[in-house]
Amino acid sequence: MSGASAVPVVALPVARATRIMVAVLRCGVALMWIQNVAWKVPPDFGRTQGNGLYFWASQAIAHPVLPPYSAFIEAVVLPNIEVFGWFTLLVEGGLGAFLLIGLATRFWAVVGIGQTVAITLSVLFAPHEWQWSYYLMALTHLAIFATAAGRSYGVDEVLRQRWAHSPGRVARLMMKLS
Amino acid sequence: MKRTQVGSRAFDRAGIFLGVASIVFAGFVFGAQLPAEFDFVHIEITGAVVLLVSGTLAIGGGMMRRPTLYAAAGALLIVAALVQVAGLAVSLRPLGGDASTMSVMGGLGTGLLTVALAARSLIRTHSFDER
Repeated sequence: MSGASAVPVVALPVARATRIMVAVLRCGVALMWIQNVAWKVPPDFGRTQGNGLYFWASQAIAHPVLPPYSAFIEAVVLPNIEVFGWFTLLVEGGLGAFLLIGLATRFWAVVGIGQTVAITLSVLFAPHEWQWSYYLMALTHLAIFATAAGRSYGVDEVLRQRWAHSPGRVARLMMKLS
Repeated sequence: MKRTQVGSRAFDRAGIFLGVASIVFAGFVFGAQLPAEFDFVHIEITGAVVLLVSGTLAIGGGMMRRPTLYAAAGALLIVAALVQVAGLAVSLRPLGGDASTMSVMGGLGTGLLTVALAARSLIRTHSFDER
């Protein structure tokens, strides 16, 4: 025991290959959001045709996962789909944009987990859905948060050198969000 | 006043990197020929031209160590993203594409502008220190 504790603990250097893989993970998840923001189509987000975001949100009522969430979708979201549609479009567009460049990455990873939970509660029990799609979505965002993926070939990596030496409140906040 | 750019090399490299990414995304103008599974971003001719011009500007700015150039590229992309959002609201697509175009342009534009502003503030700090 004493012999083992005498061995100096050396932090494992992060290999370039590891950093590249973390960046690929981040950009891959960004592309997922970018591709899927495309079918959020204003102004009615599918209400007239019964498709698009309106259809998928209504799956929470047809195949409830969490009854209070389904009641919220029925009473609040679907009657105001134009408002919630824009909210979804901007959140998912932001997820794609910021994860792609790796800016405020940890903040956007948390947003991604939140959005994944909302999607999961809507469609988990819908027919032909593979539950692991949604579990994996949440887990990849967890990995992005855990690895602070913007520090691997992201804008966070470049700007943290500036933020670390800046006394401003914004810089301190960005250090936490990245 | 002597122009000092010590320490801004990382920002210039980021400008070049984001410029290259911009040009790569312009390549998705051919994405319609791909299976839907690989057609990640919907870019049409006008959007591709904006991405190419911005990318070229950003790469040039990075190589010549002129943050103003990659700031201009970032500003152009952000304006294009805002035009796309406004277009989506009124069902007009001046740049073609859809919300995925907005997301890519907004992201790359924000990255370029943020890096350029940080580089410029670094240059100002060094210039002030020298006086």
